[in-house]
Amino acid sequence: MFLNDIFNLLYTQSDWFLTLTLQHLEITLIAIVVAIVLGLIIGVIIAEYPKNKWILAVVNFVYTIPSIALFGFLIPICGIGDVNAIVALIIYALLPMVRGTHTGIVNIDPNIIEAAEGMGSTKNQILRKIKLPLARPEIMSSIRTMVVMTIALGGIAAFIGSGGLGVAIYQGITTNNITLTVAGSLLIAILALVVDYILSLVEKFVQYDRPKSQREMHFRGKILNKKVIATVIIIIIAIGGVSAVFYEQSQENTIHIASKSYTEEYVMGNILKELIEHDTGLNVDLQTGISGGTSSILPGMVKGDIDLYPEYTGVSWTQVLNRKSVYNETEFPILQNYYKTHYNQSYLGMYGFDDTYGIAVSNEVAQKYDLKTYSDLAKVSPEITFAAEPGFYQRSGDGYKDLCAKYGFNFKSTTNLDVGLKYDALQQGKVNCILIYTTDGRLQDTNLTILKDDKGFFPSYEAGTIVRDQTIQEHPELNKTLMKLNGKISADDISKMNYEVDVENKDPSTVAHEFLVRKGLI
Amino acid sequence: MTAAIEFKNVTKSYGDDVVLENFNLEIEKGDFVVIIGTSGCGKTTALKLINRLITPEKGEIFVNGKNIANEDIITLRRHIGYSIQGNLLFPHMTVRDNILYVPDLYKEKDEEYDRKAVQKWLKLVDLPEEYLERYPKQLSGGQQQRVGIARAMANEPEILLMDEPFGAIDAITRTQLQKKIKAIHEQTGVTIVFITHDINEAIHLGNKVVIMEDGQIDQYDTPENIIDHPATEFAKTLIGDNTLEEIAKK
Repeated sequence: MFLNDIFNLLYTQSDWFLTLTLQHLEITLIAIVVAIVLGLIIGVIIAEYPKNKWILAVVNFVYTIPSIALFGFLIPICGIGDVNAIVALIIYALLPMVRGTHTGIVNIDPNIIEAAEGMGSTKNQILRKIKLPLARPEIMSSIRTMVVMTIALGGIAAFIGSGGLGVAIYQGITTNNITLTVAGSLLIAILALVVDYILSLVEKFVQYDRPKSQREMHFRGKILNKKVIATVIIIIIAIGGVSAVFYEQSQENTIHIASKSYTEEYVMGNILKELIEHDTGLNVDLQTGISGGTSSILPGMVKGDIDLYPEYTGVSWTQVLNRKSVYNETEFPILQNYYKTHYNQSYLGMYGFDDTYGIAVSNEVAQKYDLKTYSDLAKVSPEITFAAEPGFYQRSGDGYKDLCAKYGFNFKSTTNLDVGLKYDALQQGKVNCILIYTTDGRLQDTNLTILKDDKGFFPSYEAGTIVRDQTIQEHPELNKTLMKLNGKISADDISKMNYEVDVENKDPSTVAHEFLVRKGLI
Repeated sequence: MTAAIEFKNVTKSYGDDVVLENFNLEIEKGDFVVIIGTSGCGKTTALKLINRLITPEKGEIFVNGKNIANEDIITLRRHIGYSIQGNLLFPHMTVRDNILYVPDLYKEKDEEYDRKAVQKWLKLVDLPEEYLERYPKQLSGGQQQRVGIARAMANEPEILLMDEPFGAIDAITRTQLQKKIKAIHEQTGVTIVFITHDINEAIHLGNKVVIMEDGQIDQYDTPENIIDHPATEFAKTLIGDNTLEEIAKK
């Protein structure tokens, strides 16, 4: 049944999955080829000149850096996207290659090498004719290990906004769509197995003492003819070069949109993409699910890798302006001015919803005590059980302690509950009161009453588009398009869309499209 | 006439361990010189000094009258055949590629030359041509040694260095191979320096025998003279009660 869902998904979205698979292959193959060449060179250098053995220690060390951290380290240098992913994958792939090449060479019987030396081979000839061929089985098995590892690791690359099957996995995780996650993982596994199988055939083929039957020699002559290999390599490079040129050209008229890694941002990213494509005819490249949020995206905006993205005022206040105070919208001009002067960027078009924290109680409780505001709640709080995710209790500034201090809450009990579970707990009456996000999709199917933050405790997180000024100068038509969203999306609108993605498992692009049509924006 | 190989006052040590001290030896062109001695007596070191796998601390070594310290090491080695104990054929190369290894190092690929050379050397070591495409692991120990000899001779060197080439081979095959190398010596006139620790092999093969002990030469003479007049106690123990005839029979 679950399998059925997966196949159904793969079938109905086969185009998308095919694109992701090809992207995945492209990213990983580039990394693999570079790692093989680089790894061989480094491995040979270490084996031939043992005083360079420290390199092995460095490569070993780099290998131990957790992949997510490595992707993170590379963001300031390589930005986000494919380049970062490829560089990170190369760095990981180097260790098995370097080690395999080194081990393969140093483990050769020294007497064989002395024999070759005694017969008058130069150092170069020994390397070419004796060492490398004898190390080949070891090198080949390292390549296999490395390739499978790289293809699998490529799945994580989506976390920093590169393409590939990780996009499906990540989107699945963040929108709570297990089928999507499993489908993406499954394709990665299949890809790795298929490539490994092909390599196992190659491995047999290059075994150094494989007996030559007449037929095989004939076959080998045809397949491994040096001219044929050279031609194939030249063609591949040529295709790569030509497509790179075309890619560069198409880049000039492409708007790059980024979005963070939660449901609402997937939806907003898709709304922006479709609206811009519809209104301006520009190409739009949308990178969704960028982890690290603002701290990953801002450097990309500064470099010009990203043109615009949906952001929240409250986040800008604390993370970009580094303010400690609680933000409210009267301070918006300060925010706008800061972006202008420091980054040449501005908020252009505020959607009209505030994705902030809120407190909700079950309808039952709301009626029983006639609750409308936080102050109302404070009076009866000793009767009330409260639940929020663990982070909320620890945070200072707008966390639990400060909330209680501001309103004088004294709950009967408090519980740690993950985002997805809070709503179920409230519905089932296990708790009376929960912390919510004001745009959560689950608000749609839970019987709850959102109370009013009458003393203005929680900061404001109005959502809007941040865009580079230079992008607007180059494409002035964007100004009008982005302003079309100003005030068009209410908290209820976005909550409904989140619900469609999270609970109904609709595709964010479909949800975005339906919304734009419904509002008459396209 | 200049000697094929000449050691002049050669000293070589590893740390405190002096392997050769004031070593002097002159080998005439066309001789088949067998060096015999216990392990650690310095015989392999002496051999490796000739193709400069080892460099002496003191003294000089001449090949065809030229001080090898001044010669191009690669050219020197390519003109000295080298065959060693154990299976040291290149495992990733066929019999053909093993035999042609040295010519391939510096000659332009010439199919006609290769074919003739391979045929010639296979015939000389008594291996059928269908073995050409086989890999070393598909050959018996004796066959591998034959290929080893062919490989060492393929560049038609003037000197052939052999370090216990038949050390790990059964008695019957060994006798065959000994006959083979003697025949090759007679046919080609190549100067051979051959190392063994088997006195029978030494007496049977060499027209000169060097008896070595602790980095020194005890005796350097024809087999006949050595048997009749062993110079040292060590030489006497080596020969024991054997006569030349008895050794020849073995």
